[in-house]
Amino acid sequence: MGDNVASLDYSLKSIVFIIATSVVVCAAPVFVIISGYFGIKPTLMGGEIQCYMLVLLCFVLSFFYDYRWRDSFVKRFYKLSDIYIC
Amino acid sequence: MSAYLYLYCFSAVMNTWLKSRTQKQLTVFTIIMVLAVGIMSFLLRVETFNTFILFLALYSVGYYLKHTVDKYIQKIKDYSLSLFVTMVLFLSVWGILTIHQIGTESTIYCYTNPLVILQAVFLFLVFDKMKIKSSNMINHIAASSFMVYMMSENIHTRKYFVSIVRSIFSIDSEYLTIVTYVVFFFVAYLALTAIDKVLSKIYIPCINWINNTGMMKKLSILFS
Repeated sequence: MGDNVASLDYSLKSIVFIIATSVVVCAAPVFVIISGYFGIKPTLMGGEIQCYMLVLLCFVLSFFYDYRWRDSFVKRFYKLSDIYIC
Repeated sequence: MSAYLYLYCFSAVMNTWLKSRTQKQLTVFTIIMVLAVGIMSFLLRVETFNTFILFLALYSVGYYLKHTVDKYIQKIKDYSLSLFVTMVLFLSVWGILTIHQIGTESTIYCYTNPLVILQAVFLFLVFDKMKIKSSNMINHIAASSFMVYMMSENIHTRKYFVSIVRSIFSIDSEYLTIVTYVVFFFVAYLALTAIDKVLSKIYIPCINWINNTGMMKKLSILFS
């Protein structure tokens, strides 16, 4: 029972990881799109604040995406899904 | 990181070149570039397309979104949030299936995946629709976000950030962890912003001088 609860916890975290990854992965392309949109000089001068809010959001998320979750949870998820399918 | 450098080096030329295109040429060029990246880099794994050509494609997409009069784009803007959420869910399911099959998600979560590019467009349009009051202070700080992002994502510097963040999250007290992380976040952000401001002090006079000489126009004519 305890193992099942732990497994459930890991799989939920893994799903959160995947969803977070799906959100964050487009962060870098968004930067370049913003630049093209505003015809921006490379320092991203000018432009509109909402796009910068997005940039800030991506920056915050990218910390969690890269440093907190990525390494361990993918491996755990892989093992778990293997167990579930088999 | 390379995209940041390309922006420094080529954005002015790109602007001049794209400005001289007709609406139809711009549409065709953008579609061809995105398809080229999708087919060559994502499907065929030709690495040449991962860097400069990807940059050209994304920059063109941004320029196209700003200048297009296509009615379909307006419709997409109306549904951008729903489309973004749908894309996130689709990529999530695809990611789970891919991890199960080959043990890593990296094959689909890459910048050259056309769906990721599409998702980036939807996310951009979501924020573009918002009506937020302008703030000089936030604009000033946020103007250097790209630099901050690229510096913290750069393979050469990332390891230092990783070790610091990991050591922060290894602190026993949850309260102290959060406080330390927030402090680190602001210090890192402001330090990298300061670097960008210094670089821009050097860059902006240079690019203004080049623009005044008409060199950009000559280069854009050369490329076309």
